[in-house]
Amino acid sequence: MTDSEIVMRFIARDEAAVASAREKYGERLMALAKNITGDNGIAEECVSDALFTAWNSIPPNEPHEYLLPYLCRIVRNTAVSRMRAERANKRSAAIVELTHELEECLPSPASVEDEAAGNELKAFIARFVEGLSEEKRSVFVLRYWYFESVEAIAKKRGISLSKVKTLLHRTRKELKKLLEKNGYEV
Amino acid sequence: MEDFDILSALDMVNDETLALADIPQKKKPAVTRWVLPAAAALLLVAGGAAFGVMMGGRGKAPAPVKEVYVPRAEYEEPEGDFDPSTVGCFNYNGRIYLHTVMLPPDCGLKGDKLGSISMDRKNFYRLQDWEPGRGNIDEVIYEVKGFDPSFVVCSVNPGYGLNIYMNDNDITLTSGADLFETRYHLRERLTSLTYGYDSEYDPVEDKRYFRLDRAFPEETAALLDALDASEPLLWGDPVSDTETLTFDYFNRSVTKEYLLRADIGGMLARIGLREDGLVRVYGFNEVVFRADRDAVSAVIELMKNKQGEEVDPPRSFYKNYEDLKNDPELGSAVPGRMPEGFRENGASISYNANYSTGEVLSTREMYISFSRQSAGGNAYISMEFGRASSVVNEYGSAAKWFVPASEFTEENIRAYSENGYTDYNAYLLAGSAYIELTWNGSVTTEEILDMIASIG
Repeated sequence: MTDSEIVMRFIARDEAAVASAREKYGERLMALAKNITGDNGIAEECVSDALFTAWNSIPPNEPHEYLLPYLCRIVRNTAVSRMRAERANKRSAAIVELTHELEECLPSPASVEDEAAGNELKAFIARFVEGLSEEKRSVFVLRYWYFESVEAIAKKRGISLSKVKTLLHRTRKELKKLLEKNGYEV
Repeated sequence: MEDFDILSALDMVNDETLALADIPQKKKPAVTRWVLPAAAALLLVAGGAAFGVMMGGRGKAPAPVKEVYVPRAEYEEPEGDFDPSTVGCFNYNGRIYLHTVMLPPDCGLKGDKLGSISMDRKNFYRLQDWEPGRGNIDEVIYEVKGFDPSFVVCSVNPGYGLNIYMNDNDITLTSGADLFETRYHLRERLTSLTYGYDSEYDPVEDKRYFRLDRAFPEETAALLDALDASEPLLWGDPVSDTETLTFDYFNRSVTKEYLLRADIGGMLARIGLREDGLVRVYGFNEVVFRADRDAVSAVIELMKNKQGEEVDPPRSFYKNYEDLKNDPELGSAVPGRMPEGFRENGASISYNANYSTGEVLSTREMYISFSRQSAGGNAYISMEFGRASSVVNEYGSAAKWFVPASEFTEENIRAYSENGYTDYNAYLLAGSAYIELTWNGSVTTEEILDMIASIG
């Protein structure tokens, strides 16, 4: 079933829409949620919550072309909120590692003054990512948006582990350099 | 930004980018070697006995093979005065090739034509945007005989030499052999291994050069073994608990290096050895190799003590005009007669010889000077002769402008003024010899044309 057909079911308030979305993307959404939470049970809850949220948001949204990213955004937000709530107790080791990687190249907490500044920074980062070569862009997004492990990225891209690590390292370095040139304190 | 805000850093990346990133590539996984060690490591963690059972109790776990990926060359905004446009580079068959060295035109390595490269003026600085066949040069490229075009190709610079371009980026190395053997064929094609006095190879006449491979074959063989077995390290990798590789902007190691010149059947590899066992290949900027320290140190000791067969030391001695005419290499370019009314002022010849035996290996340059009295002062003509392929300038390639002697006209004359004197120069070719002719204003044009005509 195409993304558009699934979206049409949501719009038509056909309850089979959620089942269709789960059937097509459930595994992918679970992987993303588990990358963030590190826990199968919590991940399953996040995915269910996300599909429920999608039911309530389509319409008015109509992500005909890019349903997966739409659902992934909801899952991400849901999973991150769950982790924020539980951060005193447990945090995924993978997320800790990934956070440390990004800290190398992103501004310190004190230098981002408010929400507007934060959005401006995110927009800057998005422009940077979208301007990368296809391979670098994909590897960077898989790591820092989909929170995939480097092993999973290597397998998905058909490249070596060493190449993934090198691409990530160099891209982070590039981002840092660009941010510093544009007045950000990294 | 708190840590979870960091996780939201890519929130504004668009949906298309996100969707495309998630599409698996249909390429085959690059190698399975990294999978095997990981699996073996997991088995070991689970219990050595279990692993023993799996392997039938035979043999040890394979040592993990470390791969080093050398990133694809990309343009980075220049720091200091480095300008990437001065480095010839291009995309051939989807791979980026970079200029590394120029070889003499008579090296004999030019192979079959492969194609043409045209300049991408719109993306002049953006290597990553070049399509195959585009770059920052406009040249025809050829195979380099004996080498794989996926590693090295060349172009011809008439009168100067062969430009060598290498694809040593976007490659994966597991050991030094992946470079030294697979690509350079160092062991198979090595014709000489030399070094210069003061441990730096510099084509300046007062340096001395020594050859190692014939005088010290065991040490040479041990070094080649060590290079093949060496471990590649990416620039910036830690090499010990306390040290990382440090290089200056031009990628010269800040630790003293002992530079070897490996002649590989006409191809050249310049290899820097360090006393800590690290080895660097000049022009291959991303990687150093950690080699067997004993093998490297043994060669460094030879170099420090100026051991080896001395080669090509330039010597000069004074001859007369008639003797120069009889020189087997350059004599045919010497003018058939002295200019009318002139007398011989002086003549000398420099040559390379085996320092130990005195055997003359090759003639380098000859110098003759003639003069005569004239109303305005002394007129003089001097000539310097040499083999055209031996002429180098500060960039290491022939740079003088040569005109075949038979085509010389008054327009070919260049004049310069130095220290208040005005001299004229002409740069000529006569066969395989170059001639730099210098004269002052008291020499008439007819006399010069007449002299050049006698060269032929």
